[in-house]
Amino acid sequence: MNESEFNIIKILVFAFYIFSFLFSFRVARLREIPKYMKRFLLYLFIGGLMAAIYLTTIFFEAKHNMAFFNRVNLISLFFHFVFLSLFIIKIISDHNGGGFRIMYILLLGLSMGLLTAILNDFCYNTSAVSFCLSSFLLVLFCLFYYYNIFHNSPTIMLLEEPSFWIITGIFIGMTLSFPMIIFWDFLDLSLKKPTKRLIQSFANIPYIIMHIFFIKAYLCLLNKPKKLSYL
Amino acid sequence: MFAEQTEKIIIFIVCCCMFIMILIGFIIMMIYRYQLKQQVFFKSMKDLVIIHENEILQSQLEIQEQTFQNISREIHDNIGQKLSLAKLSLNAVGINRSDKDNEIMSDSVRILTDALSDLSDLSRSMSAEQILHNGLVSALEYEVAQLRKSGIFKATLITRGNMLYFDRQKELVLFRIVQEAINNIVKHAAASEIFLELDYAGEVLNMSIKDNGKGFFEDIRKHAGIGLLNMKKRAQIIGGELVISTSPGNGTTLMIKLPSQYETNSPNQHHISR
Repeated sequence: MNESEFNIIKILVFAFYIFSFLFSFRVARLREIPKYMKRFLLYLFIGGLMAAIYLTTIFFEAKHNMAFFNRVNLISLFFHFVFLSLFIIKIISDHNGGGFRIMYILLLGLSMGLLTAILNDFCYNTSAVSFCLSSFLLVLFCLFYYYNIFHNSPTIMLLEEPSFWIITGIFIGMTLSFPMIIFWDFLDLSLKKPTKRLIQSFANIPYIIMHIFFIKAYLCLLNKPKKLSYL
Repeated sequence: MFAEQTEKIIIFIVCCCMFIMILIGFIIMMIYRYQLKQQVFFKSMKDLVIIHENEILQSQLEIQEQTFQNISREIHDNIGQKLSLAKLSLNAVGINRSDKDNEIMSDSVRILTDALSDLSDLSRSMSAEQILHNGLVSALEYEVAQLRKSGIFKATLITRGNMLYFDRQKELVLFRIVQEAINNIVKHAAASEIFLELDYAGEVLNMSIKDNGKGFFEDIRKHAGIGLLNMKKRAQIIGGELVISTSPGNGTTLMIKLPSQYETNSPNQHHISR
């Protein structure tokens, strides 16, 4: 496989993200959507912009300037981590009647740790440690969400709850990407470049799965019974 | 070299697939367990609501019964006594009266006698003592006798099978349901015949109250006031089931099915009719 064919795979992956992004517009048009969903849509919008920058980088810069590509990647990673972890904590907090301030302090500490790892990766022109750490922490937040759900009274209709599907998407996406990054280091030593690029394209599979769950969350919102209006 | 790379890729893919399977399994298991927990939770909530409703209704019944007792005692001990005294006083008035006065006096005594009799019936009907001392059948016989006494209704009571003895409180609730049903017939049904049947079939009492009145539409029954609903709930409280069947022009039948815990072998076939 040559360079442009790999790019086509990546473009296809991004096309799927864009499809998911466009699908979210249908949700944005709804009159009544939960507050957390509005924030999530804003996140998607900013994430979409970042993806556009990422794509541009691949086409014009990455070939010649790997350091620049890596930095865009790391900034994007930090944004995704902060938003997604805040999102999960807010959902947990809402389920518990607004408490859990300690979680925000914990998040601040963890963000600082991640930031240190990112700065370190900046210097060594890599992103593996930051990616691993970010995925691991998000998985921990997701597991805490599940624990919280089981610990409280089961009043939520889980299969009809958009936040559940979004967090499950994050959980699966992050849990899958975590070993893939580790495997990547293991494979990196001996594989030929085309094989490595092929496996690299596998790294997008977790994110595709994550977006499938996001679409399921949008469907839950779209299929919610609408209130009758006499106006 | 190529074989080694292929092997690594295969290992990689297999590991990824296994990991995905494990994750999907975890999610499915979690959803399944959550739903089981949710089912148990909803069931317990439903039970709590039913218990709460029953407790409220039980309290209402107790308050109502207490009020009936108070009114019944007041009628018997106070109003009844005063009216009896008034009647005695009227009878003791001297004999030097005109014929017109005599007529007025005797009319007054007759009205007082009727009032005393009505009050006595009312007091007896409201009192729970009749049920507590004589049992359900005796109390129903009295109600039927009262209906026949009015001269408006042809009332019939039939009992079949080996009589079962219920808890007195249950019998009291059952009796109040019958009273409310009769009251409804008298007020709304425009009926001329009322038929009460107590069928002791094994360990179950099937009671029916029929009338030949005008009946009503199913829709009206669904949106009916709290009267019918209360009767149903009362029946539920004592472990019974109440079913109403009616249609316009065909009268109304009210069926109560009540299983018993206590059974006796005292055979009794009782028939009271006008």
